[in-house]
Amino acid sequence: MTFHSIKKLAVSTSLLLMISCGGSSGGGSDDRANLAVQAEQKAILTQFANAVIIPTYDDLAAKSAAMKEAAALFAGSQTQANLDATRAAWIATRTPWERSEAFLFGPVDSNGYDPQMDDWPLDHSKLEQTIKANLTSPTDVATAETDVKGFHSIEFLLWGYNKSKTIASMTAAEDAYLTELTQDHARITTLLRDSWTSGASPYAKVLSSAGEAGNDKYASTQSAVQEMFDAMVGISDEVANSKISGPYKDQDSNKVESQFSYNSLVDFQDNITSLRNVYFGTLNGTVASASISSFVKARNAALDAQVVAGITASIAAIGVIPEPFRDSLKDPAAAPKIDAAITTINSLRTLLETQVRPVVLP
Amino acid sequence: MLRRQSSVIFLVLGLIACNGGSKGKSNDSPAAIEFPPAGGGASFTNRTSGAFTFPAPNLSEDDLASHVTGDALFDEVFVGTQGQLNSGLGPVFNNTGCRSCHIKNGRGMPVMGDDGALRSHILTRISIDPELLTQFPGALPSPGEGPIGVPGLGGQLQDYAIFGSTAEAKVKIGWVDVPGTFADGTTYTLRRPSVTFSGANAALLNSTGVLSSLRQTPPIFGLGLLEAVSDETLLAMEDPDDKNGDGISGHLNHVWNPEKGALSIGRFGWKSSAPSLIAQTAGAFAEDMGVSNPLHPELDGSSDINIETLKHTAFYTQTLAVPARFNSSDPSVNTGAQLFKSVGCQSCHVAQLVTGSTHPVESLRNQSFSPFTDLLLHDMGEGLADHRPDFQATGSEWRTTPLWGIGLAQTVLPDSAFLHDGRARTIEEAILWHGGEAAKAQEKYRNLSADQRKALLAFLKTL
Repeated sequence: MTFHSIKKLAVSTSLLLMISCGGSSGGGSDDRANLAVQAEQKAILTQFANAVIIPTYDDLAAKSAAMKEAAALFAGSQTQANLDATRAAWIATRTPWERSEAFLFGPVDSNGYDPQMDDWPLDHSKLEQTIKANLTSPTDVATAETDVKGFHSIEFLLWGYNKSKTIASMTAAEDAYLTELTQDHARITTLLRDSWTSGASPYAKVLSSAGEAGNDKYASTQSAVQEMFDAMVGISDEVANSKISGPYKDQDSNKVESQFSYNSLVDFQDNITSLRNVYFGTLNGTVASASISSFVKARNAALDAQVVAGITASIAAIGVIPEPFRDSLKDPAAAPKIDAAITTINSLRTLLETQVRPVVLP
Repeated sequence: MLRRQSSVIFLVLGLIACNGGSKGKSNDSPAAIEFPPAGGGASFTNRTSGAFTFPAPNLSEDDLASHVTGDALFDEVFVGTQGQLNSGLGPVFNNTGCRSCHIKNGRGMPVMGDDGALRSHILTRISIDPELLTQFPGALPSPGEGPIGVPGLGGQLQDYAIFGSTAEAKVKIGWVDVPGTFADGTTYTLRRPSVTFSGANAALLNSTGVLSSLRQTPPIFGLGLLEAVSDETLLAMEDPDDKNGDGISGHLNHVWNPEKGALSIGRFGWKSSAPSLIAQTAGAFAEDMGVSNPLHPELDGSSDINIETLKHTAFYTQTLAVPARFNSSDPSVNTGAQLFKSVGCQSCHVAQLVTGSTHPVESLRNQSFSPFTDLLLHDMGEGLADHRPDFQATGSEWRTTPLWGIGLAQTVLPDSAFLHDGRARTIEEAILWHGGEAAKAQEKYRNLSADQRKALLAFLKTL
C-alpha cells in the first residue's frame, strides 16, 4: 500500500463524517452564492494559486534541483562534507513538499506526481534488487516502481537504518542509483511546477478562473473553494489520524514516514504550516486580505481567532514530542505528548469541518 | 491498518449521531429538468475533484464498513516480489493496483506506456478473427463463444512486466487528425488513434487475423445501480429489429459468466462483455494486474487473493455515490436539456432507469435514477468501429455510455478523455464521432447554431 493512497482515503472519509451530519455542508455545488461572495471567492482562489501554490512548487523544484546537484558532487567525490551537503539538501527539499500537502489536488494527484516523489513505505527487498540490477539510464528510473524511488528511497540511501550509513558503507551501485533518483526527482518536481504555470491550461488559471465561461473544470467559484477547503481539512485528518496515530496505535516504527532522517516531526509540523498557508493565503504567516481567514474573520472574528489558535497549538503540540518519533512512539513517557498532539490536531479538524465550513461554503 | 479501522468508527459514529445519516441532498431543480436524482438515494452533492470517491449516503452501517474495507483494497499496490505483502503482480501486467488506473475513480487519460508516472491507462484487447481461426493452430474457442485468445498472449496485451520477465509488447498510440465542418461553416478537427506494436510479438500482432482494440479506463461510480436494474427491464428496452421505426435498434449482449458457468446478460465494459461487477473485478485482477483470484485461479487452483478480497473490492464499485447534478442558474442549461431530447440523444442515453427489488445490497433496490444510458449495444458506425466482435457485440457496436457525472470528468482528471480509446478530448468531439444508429443525431447536432451547441454542452456539463 502506498502512503499516497492513505492520504486520499483520509480525505474522503473525514468529509463523509462531516457531510453525513447534513445541514449546509452540501454547499459548493451550485452557483447560488451571491455575486459579492463570488467575487470574494475568486479573489481568494487567485491569491491562493499565485501566492501559495506556485511559490511553494517553485521552491520545491529549486530545492530538488539543488539536491540533484549535491548528489552529483557527492558521486564525483565521496567526502563526508559532500554527503552531509546532500543530506541537508534532502531536508531542505522536504520542507516545501510537506508545505504543499494541504493542497494535494490537481496535477500532483491526477498526473501521478505524488507517488512518483513521495511513495511510502518503500519496498526494501525490491530496492536492493533494483540497485543490483544497476539501472543506468534515466528512462529506467523514470519507469521504476514508485516504491523504489522518490524521497524515501533517496532518504534511505543517504541515512540507512538508525542513521548508520557511512561513506565507507555506500556502494558504487548505491551511489549511482542515488544520483539517478535525485535526477528523476528534479524532473518530476519541475513537471509539477510547470503544470501550474505553463502549457495550454496552467492549473493556476483553472483555479482562478473558476465559474467563468469556458472553465470546464470548476463550474462555480464555490466548487473550487470547496476543493481548496477539502484539501486543507484533509491534511489535518492525515497528520492526526494517519501519520501520527497509525504507527503509534500499532506500535509499529516501520510505518513512520521520514524515519531514516529523523525528520518525521518536522514533516508533520510543516503539514500544519501548509494548512496555515492555505488559510492565510500567504507563505510567511501574515494574513492576506483575500484569504479564507479574512473571509471568516469578517463574519465571525472569534471563530477565526479559534482557528489561528488551533493552528499554533497543533504545531506546538507536535514540537514537544521527542524525535526520533520512530523511537518515542514506544516510549511511555512520550505517550501523553503524542496523545495530546493527536487530540489538538483533531480539535482543529473538527472546528474546521463543523464550524468554519458552513461559513466558507454558505 | 489502523487508519482504516478508525475511519470506520468515525463514520459509524457520524451516522449514529445523525440518526442514520442524511440522504445526499440533491440540488436538482425540479421545475427546470424533470429527471430523477442522478443516483436515486445514492446521490451526493459534491462538484470537486473528489466527486467520484464518496460512499453512497444511503448505505447501512454494515455496508458502509464493507465499502471502507473495499476502498482500502482498491488502494493496494501489488508487487512482484514473492513472500511480501501484496505479492502476486504479473509476471506481466498493465498496472499495479486498481487505483493506478482508476485515479479518483474517474475516466482514464489516453496515456499508454508513458514516462512512468501513470504507466498505461489504456489497454489493448486482442483476439483471433473467428473466420481465420484455422490459420492459428493452438487458438481455442472460449466459453460462451467469446473472443478467441491469441495463442501465447491471450485476450489482452500486458505491456509491463516484473523484474526478470518481459512485457508481451509495447504499444504506442499516435494520433491522426480527422477534419470536419459544422453546418454553419465552422471547422473542427477530431483525432483517431494509430497504434504501433513493438517487441518480440509485434509481427504476430500485426498479422492478418489478429484483432486488437483499445480500452480506456471508465469511471466506476454508480455501477451497483446499473447492476441492480432487472434483466426484465433491460429485455423490455431491446428493439433489435427496430420495430418502433425510430432508427435505433439496441440489443443486449449475452456473455460468459464465470461465476455461474453459463451465459448472462452483459452490462459492464465498453461492449457489455462483463455480466456482473464481481466478474468485471475478477477479470481486472487477472488481466490488468496478473493477480490470480478465485474466478481466475492458478492451474493448481490456488490464487493470489481470496474470495473476500475479491468481493470487497467489487463491493466498493457497487456502492460509490453518484454526483448530484449541478444546479445552474444559466438559462441555456434548460434549452440544452430540451435540445438533448429533440436532437435524439435521449433515444439511447435514456434519462431514467429503475432498479429491481432483488439486488443483495439493500440500498440499491427500487431506486429511480438518471444514468443516461439504456445499457444496450448500438451500431456506432465505421468511424468508431474496432472490427473486433465481443460475444454478441459486432465490430461496430458499443454499449451506450452512461452520461452521469460526465460534466465532472475533467474536474476529476483534467486530462481525461472520452470514448473507448480516449480519442475525444472534449465532450463535443465525442458527440461528433457518433455514427451508425446515431448518425442522424450527430447530423442534427452539426446543424445546430453555435448558441444551441453551447446550450447542449452546458446541459451536459451539469450532469
